[in-house]
This record gives sequence, C-alpha cells and structure tokens, in this order.
Amino acid sequence: MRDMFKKIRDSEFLSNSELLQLKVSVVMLFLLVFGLLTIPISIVEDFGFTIRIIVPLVFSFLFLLTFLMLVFNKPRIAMHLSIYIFIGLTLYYVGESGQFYSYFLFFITLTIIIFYQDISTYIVYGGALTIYGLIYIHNAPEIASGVELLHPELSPLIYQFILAGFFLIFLVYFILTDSINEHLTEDYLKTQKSIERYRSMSLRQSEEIDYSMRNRPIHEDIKLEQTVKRISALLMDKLSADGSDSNADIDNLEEIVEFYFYLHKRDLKKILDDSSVSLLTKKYTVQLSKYLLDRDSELNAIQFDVAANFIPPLEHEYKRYKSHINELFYSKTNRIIALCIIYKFLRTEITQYDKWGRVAASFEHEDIKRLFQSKSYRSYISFADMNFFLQNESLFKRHLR
Amino acid sequence: MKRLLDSHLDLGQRQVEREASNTEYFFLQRKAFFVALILMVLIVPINFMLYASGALVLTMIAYSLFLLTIAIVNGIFYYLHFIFPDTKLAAYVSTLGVYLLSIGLILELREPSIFTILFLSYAIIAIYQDMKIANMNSVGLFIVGSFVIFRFPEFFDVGTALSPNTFYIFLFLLIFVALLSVSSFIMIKRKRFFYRQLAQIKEREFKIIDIFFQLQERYFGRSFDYEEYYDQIETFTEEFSRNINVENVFQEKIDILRKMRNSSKDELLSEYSSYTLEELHELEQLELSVVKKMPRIAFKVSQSQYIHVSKKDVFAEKQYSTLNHKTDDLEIKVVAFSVFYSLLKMNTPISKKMTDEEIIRILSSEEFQQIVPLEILSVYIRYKDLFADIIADTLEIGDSS
Repeated sequence: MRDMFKKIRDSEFLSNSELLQLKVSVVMLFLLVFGLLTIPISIVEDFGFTIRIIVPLVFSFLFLLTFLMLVFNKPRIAMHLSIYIFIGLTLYYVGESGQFYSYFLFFITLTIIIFYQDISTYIVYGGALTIYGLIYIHNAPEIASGVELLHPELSPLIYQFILAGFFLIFLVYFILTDSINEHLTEDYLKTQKSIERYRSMSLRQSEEIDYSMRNRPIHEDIKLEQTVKRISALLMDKLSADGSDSNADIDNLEEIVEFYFYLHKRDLKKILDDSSVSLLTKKYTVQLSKYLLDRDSELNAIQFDVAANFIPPLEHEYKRYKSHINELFYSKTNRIIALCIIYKFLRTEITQYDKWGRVAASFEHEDIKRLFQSKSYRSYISFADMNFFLQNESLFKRHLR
Repeated sequence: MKRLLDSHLDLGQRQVEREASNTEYFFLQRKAFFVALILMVLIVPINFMLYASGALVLTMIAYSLFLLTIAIVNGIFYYLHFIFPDTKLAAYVSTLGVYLLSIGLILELREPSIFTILFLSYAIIAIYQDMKIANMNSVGLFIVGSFVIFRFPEFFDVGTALSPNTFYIFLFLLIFVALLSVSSFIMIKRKRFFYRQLAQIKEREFKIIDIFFQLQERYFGRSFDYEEYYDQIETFTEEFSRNINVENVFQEKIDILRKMRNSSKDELLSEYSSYTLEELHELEQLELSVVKKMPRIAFKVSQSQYIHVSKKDVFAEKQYSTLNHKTDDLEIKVVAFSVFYSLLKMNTPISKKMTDEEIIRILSSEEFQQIVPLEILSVYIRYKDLFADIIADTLEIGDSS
C-alpha cells in the first residue's frame, strides 16, 4: 500500500508500462473496496438470485484473473479485464435493481475508463457504455421509480443529457490532451535528435583535436583504464559491505573493465552474431555497449549534459526558444538582417561533414538556395522571406561570403 | 568555480521553471477557450430543462447570463490574456461558477436525475488540467455532493440519512471523486514533468551548440568574426536600398547593434529616442558578439535537413540517457559510473576536470537525479576522499593542469 502511494507520488518517473501497472493496481483496490462494501449488502437486500449469488462468484473469478495478469506482467490485459468487471457490474446492477444509485455506476465505469487515459479505450468502451445507457434510459424511463418525481417526463431526458454530456466533455478533454501531447512530443523528439547530431559532430571534432595534438583516443588511455579498475573495485567493495547485491560478479570485475575497453572500435554486431561467443559475454556486450566512448553513446550524452552546465545560460530572455524569423521579428528590416546573418553563417562557417567524414565543410550558394526553397526550412523562414532571398540572390551571393 | 557553477545551475533551473510555466500557461489559455465553448453550448439544454420544469422566464435569463458571464471570462482569458497576466482567474471563476450553477439547478429541479449535473461540472473543470484547480474541483464536488445527499435525502427517496441507499450514493460519490482525483494527480504531475523536460532540452540544445562552437574555435584557432558580419551586412543593405531607391533604414540599426556590446539599454534609449524598449529587445536578438542568438539559430538551420521525426517515434516510449538501466547488472552499473566519474576528473576537449564538490552538486541537482543509481551515488558521496586518492594516484601523476 505504501509502495503504491510512493509510486503515485513519483508517477512522473514511471515508464508507460509501469504506470499502467500502477493504474490497474489502483483500480483493483477500488474494486476490492467496492466489492467488499456492496456485495454483502446486495445479499441481504431484496435482489434477485443473479445478484445475490452469481455476481459475487463472477466478480471474484474476474478479480482473481486480473490479479494474475498483473502478476504475470500483462498490464494491458489486466486493464481490459478490470474494465469488463465494472461494465459487468453496471449492467447487472442497472438491470436488477432499477434503483437511482445504479445509474451512478455508468459514471463510475466511465471514470475507470478515463482513469486509464487512453483515448481509443475510452471511445470504444466508454462510447459503447454511453450508448447502452442512453438506450436503457429511453426504454426504462422509470429508473428512479421509487421516487415521486416532480417532472416525470423531464427526468429521463436529464439522465440522458448528462450521461451524453459527460462522455462528450471527456472526449474533448482526451482530444485536447492527445493533440497537445503529440505536438509537444514531436517538438521534444526533434530537439533530442538535433542534440544527438550536434553531439556526434562535436565528438568528431573532439577526435580531430586529439589527433591534431597527437593524443591517443581517450578509450586507449592506459591511465584511464587503471583508474576505472581501481574505482570500480572500491565502489563494489563498499556496495558489498552495504549488502547491495550478493549475486554481483565481484571476482571478475577487473575482467569486465578490460572487456569494456576491448569493445571500443569493435564491431558489436559481429560479436553478438558469433555462435562461439558465450551467452555471458554477449550479455555484457549488450549492457556495456550503451557506455562506449568512441560513439554517440548514453555515457557520452550524459558527459555532454554535465559539460553543458558549465556553459553560462543565455541571458537574453526575449523570445528565448523561438526560431522562426517571423516569430522573432515584427520589423521587416530586422527580418532582412536576420536572413543576411543566416545566409552568411551557412556560406562561411563550418557546419557540414566533408567527404572524409571530418567536420570541415560549409554550404555553397547553390546549396543554400536549394535549402531555402525546401519544405523543411519553412520552420525557420517564411515563403515571403524565401521570395525576398530569390529576388535579391545576386546581392546575397556577392556581399555575404 | 563552484560558485560560478551554482549560479549557472540556479539560473538554468529558473529558466527551465519559467519556460515550463509559460508552456503550461499557453495551453491553459487554449483550454479556457474550449471551456468557454462548452459553457455556451450548455445554455441551450439548461434552458430547455428549466422551461420543461415550468421555471420563470426571469430564472432562465438569470441562468443564461450567469453561464454567459463565465464563458466571457474564459474568452477574455484566451483572446485578451494581457488583461489577466499570469493568473488563473478564469479557471477559478469557472470552478466556483459551475458548482454554484449546479447547486442552483439541483435546488430548482429537486429530483434525483439532476444530481449528476455535479459530474458534468467536474468534467468541464477537469479540462484545465491544472493541479490547484483540479484539487479545488475534487473538493468542490465532494463537499457539494455530500451536502446534497445528507441535507436533501428526500430528493433521492433514500429514507433516512443512514439507510443503505444513502450509503450506496455516498460510496459511489466517494469512488468517483477518489478515482478522478488520483487520475488528475498522475496526469498533471506527468504533464508538468514533461513540460520541464521540454524546457530543459531546449535550454540544453543551445548549450550543446555552444560546446560545438568552442570546439570549432579551438580546432580552427579563430573565433567568430562578428565585425565581418556587420561590415558585410552594411554593404549588402546599402546596395539593396540604392537598388530600390529608398533611404537606407538599416544603417542606424547596424550602428545600434555595434554599440549594444558596450552600452546599456538605458544609454541606447536616450541616444536613439525614436526606439522603444520593446524595439531594442527585438533588435538585440540580432546582436552577434554577446547575445549570439542568430548564430545558434543559423547552426540549427544548417542541420535541420538531417532531422526527421516519424509518427512511430512520437508514439514510442521516450528514452532518456542514464547509468541506471534496470536491466543492467550491478557490476555493469559500477563500471559505467567509474568510467563516467574518471572522465569528469580529466581534461578532455569537451569538458575541464571537475572537483568532487562540483560533481556532487551536479549529480544532486534535479536534472541529474535519475542518472546515477542512488546506492552508487551515496557510496561515492560517503567515500569521496578515497575516490580522490585513487585519482591522485593514477590520473593526476605528472599532470600539472
């Protein structure tokens, strides 16, 4: 229980699959509370045989099945099962009791579906349940038959209107959330991929610097290997003393470090495809591949992120993360100056790989012209700015180089 | 050095917070628009209900005006947001308004079906997806719902306040509120976390570009020649103005850009009285020696043709670089951290060697919290002197830098 609360509190750090598992667990908890509190009452109440005997049995069976799916790490199936349980409970209670509160179950079940935050699940199950609810109320307007109604004709219409309204408003909610998420995720991924490219170029440049200074590549540095061996041994020793993991391969730690450095400049695919290589070696190859220094690995990415903290943050606040010229500048003259800077930068600064794979090339005028005309550049310059460039092409070519 | 790092980290953190809040505020405005739309649509069915129940025309007008007022407040928040800068006033007004409206309708119509209007109110306010508003929404629904159930049990014909029917209705209300509250809590926390990550990655993008620029300067042995840019743009704009027979309006702007390096905004405003502060802010984005915003954008432009994001990427689970992969064995995590730590203690083209205080400060910051396994980080912090001894023994021998 405490673990569940902790996971809810730190839910932003969970993966999608872990989050779904947590959500199913929460729903199961509610289901258990709901079952324990309502089923005993339904047995003593004046309900039919189905509610009194069959419902508790089916409920227990499905509950157990959902629990098993969670145990066997099948959260998606468990999610569907938990929804089926609630839909089943709704249909039985509405059909058997005909009481006003059974109508509440439509909302409870829709809430369960909303809880999973999945638009397709909501449309399919939520839509079907809402349609069923609307038809049911239409055919059985006496849903609150025990009450003396002030407006008997109006009452079923209110039921229908609120149920449909609830479904539709949450549909708007889902559509809004999904469209915002999709837009922002695309922005995030674009930035992430850009950073990966800048990092690769920087690593290449860094190799060139090492080469020009006649330094050995860092992964061939014997001092580094020695240091890693000693730090690993110390770390593992202290972790073992703390009782961290008794199964850890402490004796072979030095060999793992040597193997790590050996893997650099090796074709990892070849090692993994080689049937003579042991499974343990392949396992270590896969696990260590994320931390190699001679490629754009996760370890290099983290090292860059750390180094980035020593770069002073931009002091300029105004439209800090905007990149499109039209968003940055209202004034046309400013836009023209910006276009000049971009053109000159592309023409004169080193931003491209040359034919030998070094970061040593820049764009020619014709390349820039082709780029400005391409669709991908509309996220930086508008159609009008491109036309301005084409109309004054010779001026750009002559003066900005 | 540590103080400088602290100030960079703090400033960076503030920028990230500000950008995340801006993103949240931007989308809150759009959500307010949809809330306004829904409230406008609601005027029709609510008037129909009131008409069918035989309410006075004056009552109908009062309800319509009330809904219209809340919708207008949301509309103003969307279209004229400068009237409510940095407030969530529209959302608070809406929350209070829709619950008042619900109480009014429940007391006006006095029958069980209208009780569920509270669920509809909850759904409308849920659209904002803001933590404080979501809390207000849950508390509002629970208090108003409980009040109606226990104060007016005759609406539901549930007999006394202690009958099983009252219990069912209250239990269903409780489940409804609890589930939706947990759902909103998880969703909003994850959303905010994502907004912060988006802000963080955008901030980092500029810094990684700066690292690339620094490597370029080091490799080619020349720094960015901003004077050459100003000179060439001057020649370009002179000829451009002559060609179209207009006065050269660019010259003054280029003069200001040159002066921005050593002059404050106040000095520039007094010298160039025809400019406003807003215009200077806009122009400042073109400054090339200190602000350097345009070279960074131009570099992004130079790489944009290689960056592609597919729909598959958008819907795939996001991957973050970490030394804390759950699938890695402990010894691999130990080796990965040892390599990472040793690299931070070395001078490389990418980063200068760091002190243990700097490493601890960075690894303890929010951005890096999930990067290093907690048990490894705590051993390192406890035994940092032993780690330093190893570095002194191995890496720093003969290293005078």
